[in-house]
Amino acid sequence: MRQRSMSMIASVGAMTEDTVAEFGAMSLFTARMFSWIFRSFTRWRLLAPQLYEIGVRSLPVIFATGAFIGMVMAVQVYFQLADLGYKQFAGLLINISVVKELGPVLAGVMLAGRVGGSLSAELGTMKVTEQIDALTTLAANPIRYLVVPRFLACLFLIPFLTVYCDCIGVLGGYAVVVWIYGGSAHDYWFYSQRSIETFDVLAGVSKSFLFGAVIALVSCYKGFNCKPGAEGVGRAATESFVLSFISILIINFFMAVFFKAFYGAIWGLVPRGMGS
Amino acid sequence: MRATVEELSAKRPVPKAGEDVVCLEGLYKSFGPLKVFDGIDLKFRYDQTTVVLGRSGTGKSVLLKHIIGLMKPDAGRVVVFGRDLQELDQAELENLRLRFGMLFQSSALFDSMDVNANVGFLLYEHTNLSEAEIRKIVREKLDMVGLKDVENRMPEELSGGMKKRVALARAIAMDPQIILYDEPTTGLDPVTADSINDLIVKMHKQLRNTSIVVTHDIVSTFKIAHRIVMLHEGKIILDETPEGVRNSTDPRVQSFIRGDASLEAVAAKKTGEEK
Repeated sequence: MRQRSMSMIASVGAMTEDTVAEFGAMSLFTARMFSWIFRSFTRWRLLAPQLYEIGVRSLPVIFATGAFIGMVMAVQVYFQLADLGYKQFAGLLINISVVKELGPVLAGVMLAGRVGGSLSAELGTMKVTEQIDALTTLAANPIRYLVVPRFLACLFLIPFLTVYCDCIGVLGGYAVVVWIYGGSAHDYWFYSQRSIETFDVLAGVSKSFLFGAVIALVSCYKGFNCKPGAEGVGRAATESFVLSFISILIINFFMAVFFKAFYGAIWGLVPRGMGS
Repeated sequence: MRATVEELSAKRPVPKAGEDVVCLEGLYKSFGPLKVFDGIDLKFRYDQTTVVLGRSGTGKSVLLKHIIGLMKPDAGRVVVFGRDLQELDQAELENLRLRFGMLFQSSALFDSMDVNANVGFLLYEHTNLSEAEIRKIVREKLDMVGLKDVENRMPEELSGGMKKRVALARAIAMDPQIILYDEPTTGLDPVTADSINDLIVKMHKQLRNTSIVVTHDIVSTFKIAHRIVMLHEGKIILDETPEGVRNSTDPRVQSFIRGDASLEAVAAKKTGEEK
């Protein structure tokens, strides 16, 4: 019994040590990347292909994500509100959910899968086929050459993709409410415009900067530390998605708390939904 | 900041023939419980091709990675052109690496770039040469390794032997003073492997540099080596000319060069008795 307890304590200790070591290694990786950004930023020749890969090639999946978020929200809320006699508020409810939470978070999750998975797999393959070592022997720092352009492309383009996702989500909701269920187009836009503030849109977009940063960092780190073989590459891609996903949810929670407090502090009002 | 070719040449004084350009001093390296280097002392001279022999997993590739600074020893020093690698900062290390070329076992061509970008990588990154000048040099280097009209092909469109040649062209793009070859003939058919051996000999004749080749290919070894070193259980057990290796009475060496496992059993028994 005593031996079993000791072994459990040892396992917990080893796990804690591994987690702390991983966190330390990731922090060091991040610090190195920022030091390269401040020293030499990046070159257009390296950045342009990443902007295309991460931005342009993500448009179809983000279109689908945005459209279905808006449409599903419309299906879920329209009849419930109609039963209560509030169907004119359907647009408001759909759009505030899309712009503040669902758009940024689901776009982030979708991009963690599409972009993050692809970055980890690409860098992981480069690692196991010695291409990263080859870069080093050719006097090119792999972090400056590979990580910095991918990080900048994610940081700048994921917010744009989030805004795109929001817009498509709003239009998807409109299509279901107005064209399928025969709701009023005027109500859809009027109540949305009255209730959704610039602050809401900016809160959603500013979260997406952090989502972009975390997706890039986690995926590049996992790719760079990929274990040998096809299994190693697969595992790096999976771990990168899972870690990015969890990080997005955690960041989203803390950003929501922060924005509620910030809104109250600036405008001196109790945030919506918390008043009596 | 990219340099002119003259500026780069000024940073690369040419060593004298026979001068020690790479010195490994008391090198120790372990991966967990596995001891790879157990106090290795070894010197590599300019204008000489040294082949490092050893069975799979004896640390031959690890040795090359220490020489070019991809790995650090647990103890001991790696001195290249008189500079201890551990004392160099990032910029100095990168400058030093411009004097190296390395051919990887898997070729390690950048699969997102075409052959021109792969071979001209160093020139695009570190010199201010124009696109036309770089393309001209790339064609010359490809010609040296016996390839023509492949500049616009992607790596996946090349055969294994062609990949090795392109990787060799990339390694010699800036006329390196030290070339490291990691298992250059592994995975190739005997004829292609022999053509790679010819290329290694030809490169040495043309560039007059230090070539360090790690391999377990005996045919290749006797074709290209001026000197043969053998790694066994973390130590150097042989440092001879090819003729000296043929005449060696050490059963571990004979077992390796003849590919005869029974001789190794004799050697193991002998070692056990001595202990």
